[in-house]
Amino acid sequence: MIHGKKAQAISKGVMVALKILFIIMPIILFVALTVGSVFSSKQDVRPLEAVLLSKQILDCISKQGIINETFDVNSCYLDDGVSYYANATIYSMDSQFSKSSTSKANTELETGCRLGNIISKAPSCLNQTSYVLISRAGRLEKGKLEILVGVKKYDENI
Amino acid sequence: MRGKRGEEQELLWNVIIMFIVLSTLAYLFFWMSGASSGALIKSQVDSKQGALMTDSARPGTTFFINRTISIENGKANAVSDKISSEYSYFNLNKISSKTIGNGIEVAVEK
Repeated sequence: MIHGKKAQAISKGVMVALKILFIIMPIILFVALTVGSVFSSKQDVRPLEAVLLSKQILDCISKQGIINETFDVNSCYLDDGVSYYANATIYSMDSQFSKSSTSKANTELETGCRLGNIISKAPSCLNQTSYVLISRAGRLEKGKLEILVGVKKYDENI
Repeated sequence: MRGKRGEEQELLWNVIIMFIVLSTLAYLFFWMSGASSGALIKSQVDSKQGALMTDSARPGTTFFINRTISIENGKANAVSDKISSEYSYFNLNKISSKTIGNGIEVAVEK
C-alpha cells in the first residue's frame, strides 16, 4: 500500500502525465485519421476493368469488324453471375434489323448502370459505340454496335 | 474529506486510464507506421494488378509476376506481410501458372 506524501506525489505525477496525453491524443487522432485514410484506402480499378471487358467483348463477337447476327456475349468472358454485366446491341443501317444480347440476368447491375452516379454504391459502367458490318443471311449490312458493360465488385474497390 | 482509501482508488483509476490511453496511442502508432509503408494495401494492389494483367493478356502470352501471388480458378490471390487479398478476373482462356523463385509465370492459352 502507498500512503501519505508518496501517494500524493505519484497521484500528482499521474495527473500531469494524463493532462499531457489528453492534449497529444487529439493531434495524433487527427493525423491518424487523415493520413491513415489515404494510405489504407482501396484502389478502384473498375473503370480500367470495364475498358478491358468492353474490348474483350468487341474482340469476341466481331471478326475483323464483321458481326454475325447470332452473336452472344455470354460466351465472351468468365462470369460469376455477380460481378459483371454486359449488353451488346447491333442496329442495322440498311434495314430495320436490330438484335441485343445480355449477360445472364443481373438486374441490379443493369439498373445501376442506367442510373449512373445517382446512387451512392454504383457499378462502374462503360458505354461504347462502334461501326461494324453485320453478316445477315449471307449479306453484309452496315450497322452500329453498342456495348454497355458494368463492373460491380463494391467490397474490393470502394 | 477523502480518506486514504479514496486517494488510492483515485490513483488506481488514473493509472488505468493512463494505461488505456497509452495502449491506444501505441496501437495507432503501429497502425500508422504500417499504413504509411503501404503494407495494408500491398496485397490488394498485387492481386488487382495480377487480375488486370490476366484480363488484358491475349492467348499465347506468357508473363512473369515478381510477387507472392497465385492465379487460378478465376481469382488472383496475393499475400503480403501476412495480409491476403483476392480479386477475380474474367479472361475465359486457359490460364496456367507455375512458381519460379519469388514469383510466378503465367501462361495464357486458347
